[in-house]
Amino acid sequence: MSTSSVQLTGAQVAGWMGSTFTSEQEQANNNTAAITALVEQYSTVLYRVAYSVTRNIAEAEDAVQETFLRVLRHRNELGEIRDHRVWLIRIVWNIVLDRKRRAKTRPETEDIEEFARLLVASDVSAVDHAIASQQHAYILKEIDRLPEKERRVLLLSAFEELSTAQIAGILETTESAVRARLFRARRQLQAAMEKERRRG
Amino acid sequence: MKQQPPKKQFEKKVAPEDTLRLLAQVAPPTGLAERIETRLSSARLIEAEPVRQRWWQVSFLTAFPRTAAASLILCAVIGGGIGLYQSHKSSTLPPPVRFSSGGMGAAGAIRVAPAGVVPPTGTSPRTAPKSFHGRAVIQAGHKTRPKGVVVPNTPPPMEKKVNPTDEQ
Repeated sequence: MSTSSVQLTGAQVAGWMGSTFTSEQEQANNNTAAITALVEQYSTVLYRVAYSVTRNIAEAEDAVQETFLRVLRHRNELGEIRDHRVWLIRIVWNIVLDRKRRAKTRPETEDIEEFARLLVASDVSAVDHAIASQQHAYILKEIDRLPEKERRVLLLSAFEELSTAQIAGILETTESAVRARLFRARRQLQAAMEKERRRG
Repeated sequence: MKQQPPKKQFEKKVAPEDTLRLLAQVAPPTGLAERIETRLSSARLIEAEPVRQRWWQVSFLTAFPRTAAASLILCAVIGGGIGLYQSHKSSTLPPPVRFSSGGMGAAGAIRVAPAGVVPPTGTSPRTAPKSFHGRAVIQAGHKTRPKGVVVPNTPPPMEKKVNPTDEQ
């Protein structure tokens, strides 16, 4: 039996360990920098997506923080993600929907009228502000009455940076399904607005 | 200056797209990105702390000294328990059996009582009569009446002819 096994010298082992350590440290630094860049780029849009569902400032912020914590846990997979925007919005979307399902506490703005007043710009006159907030409140109520799937598509369609394909990726459905649901949602809202117009 | 009614001043109707646009353009709270970074830094610090390994994750080299110590302790506990059990068992055993002769093992063992059994004194023999004509017979040696027997204060029975009318 030949004894031609390779004997590693101490210097070789130290060099190997040193190179491994360096590459791991570099990878850790790269991941940290990548996550920081994601936070700077997407924290605002993630907050808006979360807020459109929760209508609660604290809950929306908490959902965004939880999103980036999950990104940190899966930082080794960052290189495999093609569209970070869709990936991140899908994470925060699932978080807020899951929390809404299990929510026992009421939202900060229990009253839709109160929430609608926050949406209207403060630089308009008081009368305009009151009328606009009243109309927005009515629309928000009609949006809440929509079926769940149509409502989700409608809310995501409000974000101009999201295409139909990206919305389909977030909701894990097809583009045709997104278009169909969007069409039904808008038609239902139009009918509700028409009914309100005839009444008033 | 005429005051216009509010309805005429604001004629523009709000469309659903306007509401949705306002929802999508809500300003985030100030310092949001900084707070996220702070939380991520805390999470990284927690991750960097040494993690308690599960028992199946521990490598042999690091576990050997601990395993050896644990085994020694376990042996000491088991040995101590066995020793306690043995001593307890021996204390409850009957005294060792004395062989009458030099026999082998327990086959020839005969239990020998430490002392002979002496019958109690002052008792009547078992063959003595205990009753005479239905009445208890008190033996001469008895100084006290035996327990459970009620003997009326009557003179000792005399021998007489049995009269059918006396028998009850």
